[in-house]
Amino acid sequence: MEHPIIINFQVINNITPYLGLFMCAVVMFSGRYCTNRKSTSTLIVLYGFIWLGLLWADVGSTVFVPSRHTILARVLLVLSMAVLMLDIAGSTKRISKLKSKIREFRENDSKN
Amino acid sequence: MQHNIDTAKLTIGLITSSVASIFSASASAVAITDQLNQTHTFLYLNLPIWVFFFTVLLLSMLGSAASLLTDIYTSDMDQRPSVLQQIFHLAGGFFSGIIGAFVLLPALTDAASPPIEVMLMTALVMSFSGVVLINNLGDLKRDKELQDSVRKLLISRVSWLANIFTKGNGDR
Repeated sequence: MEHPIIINFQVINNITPYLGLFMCAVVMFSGRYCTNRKSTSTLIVLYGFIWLGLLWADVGSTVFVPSRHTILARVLLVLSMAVLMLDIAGSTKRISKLKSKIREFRENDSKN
Repeated sequence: MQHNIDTAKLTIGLITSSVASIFSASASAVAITDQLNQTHTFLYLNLPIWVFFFTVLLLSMLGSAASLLTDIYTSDMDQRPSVLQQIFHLAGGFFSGIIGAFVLLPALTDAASPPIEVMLMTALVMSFSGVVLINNLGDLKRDKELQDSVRKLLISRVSWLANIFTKGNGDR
């Protein structure tokens, strides 16, 4: 008896826009990612537009046919978004450490 | 005397045509109501289309309201927008969600009737993104220092590119 293939190229093609939008939502709403900088929030919103455009291409286009190349491009886009998430999380961590150190120094100064 | 008869005929003609147009308008309104009551299958449910359109409006509101939970509005810094600006951003986001779902989506896709789930996603994402973009663009418009830094950055990048190209030509 043959097992049905659950994850094939079409499934990956269909999932990537929703995955990308979910990642955008995680970055915008999670406390681990500081999006107070204008460039960061604009970048995430533009990524959201990219994923929305790909979703439109999947369901709204009569000419778009997913191929291995387009699926590879989508997966690479997800990877680039993951790297961006790591970058934002790292910078947020560094800034919060700096803030706590500054607070410590001020407290020590006030004690002295 | 003939003039008076002609004027009366013209007036009666105008009245009949306006009454006919009123009747045709009300007939088309009935047709629109009938069309809005058409059912569409979604998640095994046969729901009338006006429910989906109403959900698009609701999700536009939800998306723009959800943006208030982001760092832009929850931070306790001085950059936080005032209440009036927040209301303006929310209204802008709501309208961008509606425009995205009802104007951009049908215009930019080939499908004659876009799928309902994509309309809902478009309304949610566009309203949220609209609020964030309006906030960022508003800050850029107000803040002179930010404008100068963006301008300097762009000029430095363009001059860097120009240097690369001119040096490349010079080497040849």
